[in-house]
Amino acid sequence: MARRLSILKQPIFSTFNNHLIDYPTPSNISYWWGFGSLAGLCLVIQILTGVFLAMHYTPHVDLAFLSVEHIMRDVKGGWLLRYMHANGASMFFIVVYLHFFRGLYYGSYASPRELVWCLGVVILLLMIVTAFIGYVLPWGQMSFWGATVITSLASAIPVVGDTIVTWLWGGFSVDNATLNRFFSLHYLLPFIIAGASILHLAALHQYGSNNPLGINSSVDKIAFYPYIYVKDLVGWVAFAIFFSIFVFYAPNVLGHPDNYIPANPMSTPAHIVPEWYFLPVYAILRSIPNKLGGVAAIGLVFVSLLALPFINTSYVRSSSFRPIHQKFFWLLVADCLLLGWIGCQPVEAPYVTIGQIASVGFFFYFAITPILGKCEARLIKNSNACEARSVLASFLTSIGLLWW
Amino acid sequence: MGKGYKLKEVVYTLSPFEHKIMTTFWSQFAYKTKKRISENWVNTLTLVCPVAGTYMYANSAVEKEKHHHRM
Repeated sequence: MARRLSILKQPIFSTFNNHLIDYPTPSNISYWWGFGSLAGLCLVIQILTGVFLAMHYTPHVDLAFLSVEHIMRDVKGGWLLRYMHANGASMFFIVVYLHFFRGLYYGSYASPRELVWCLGVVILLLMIVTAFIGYVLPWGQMSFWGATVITSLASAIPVVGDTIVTWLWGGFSVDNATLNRFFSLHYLLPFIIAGASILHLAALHQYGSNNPLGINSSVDKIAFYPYIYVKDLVGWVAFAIFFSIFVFYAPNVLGHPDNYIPANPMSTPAHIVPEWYFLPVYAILRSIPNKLGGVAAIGLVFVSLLALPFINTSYVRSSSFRPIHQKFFWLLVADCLLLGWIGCQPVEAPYVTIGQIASVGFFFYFAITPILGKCEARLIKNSNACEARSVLASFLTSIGLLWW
Repeated sequence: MGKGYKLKEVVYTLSPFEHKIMTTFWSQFAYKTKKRISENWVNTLTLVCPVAGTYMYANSAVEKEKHHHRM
């Protein structure tokens, strides 16, 4: 840092320097803080592979499936582009879910980083829409029927539901018009995600990163470059190895074999299942027998996530110092894993009951958050009072003994 | 940003050949492992038990249902 290029002091470059090179970062952040930059890497991978795939893909119902096979078989490196893009979406969600749970555990959503959290939820929502739309494009059986099931949910809206669905479809069923507009939106939305990510970073840089202790770290900060850059690089290399295992050795293990069957509106698959990253939300949707209720439950999931910073009442930020919250956090993780498993099971006993209990469990975490903070504060106050009383008692006892 | 942080500069004066890296790794391995387990076993059980228990319950319920239909 003693010698810096004078160009870094010029406009634009100075912004780059202030936010990516000399940016003050807490010295104690762990490897869990690497998932943010990793998510950015995943977005870049998706955009690059997606742009090159789009050069060979045809968004027409009669040609889409064949164009994907053309990419796989005839285009040089097409198989690699396709497998990187398909598995890259899964990697993106793995990284973002880990990033999300890290933020939940260490209280990164708490004041003053509410805006960072809310923008993160918006990015997650955009990712979900983008991934759903992207899955339709290969025009396999799961693509078509998944699109039919999920877009039909909008018909649950009273009065205008059917009109909205027809407007979404561009016709009276999922057909060529739907595929065309989905291709257009799938190309557009990642750039919206990129813009939202820049806002997410700007909001973060307002107050700086959180750290595992959850306390103010102004006393000890280090420059982003080279320390955090190198730390993130370790994560990037580990990610590259993990990603490569799927792309080169198990490229279809996270997918569904039915999507290698061309879409047939006359033949409904036995089990319509979304990709794994949608399963928890899908399980919550299916837990409620009423269609509008299921849609409302999905909406409530995102409303709960957005409301989290504002319903939190804890004085302590990090779960490192909140042993009770730690248990609820791990119960939430267990609940999400169960929901994911239930999402790919048939809708029959005992999976229905388990799914309903797990769905209630998910919302229970958010319901208990405001109460938990107050309980912990009371426990701390009581333990301080107990400690103060015991110190006073021992002092008075020693005075009494001396006098005697 | 913009709060007047004084960044620390780390200046290495020791030759890299003199650096001792991870010297206590193995000597402290047992202690650190025991500490990690003692601090986290409750959290681990909180995560694993509901998932494993529910999975086992569901499988046994499905098997019972199959046997019920066979009889």
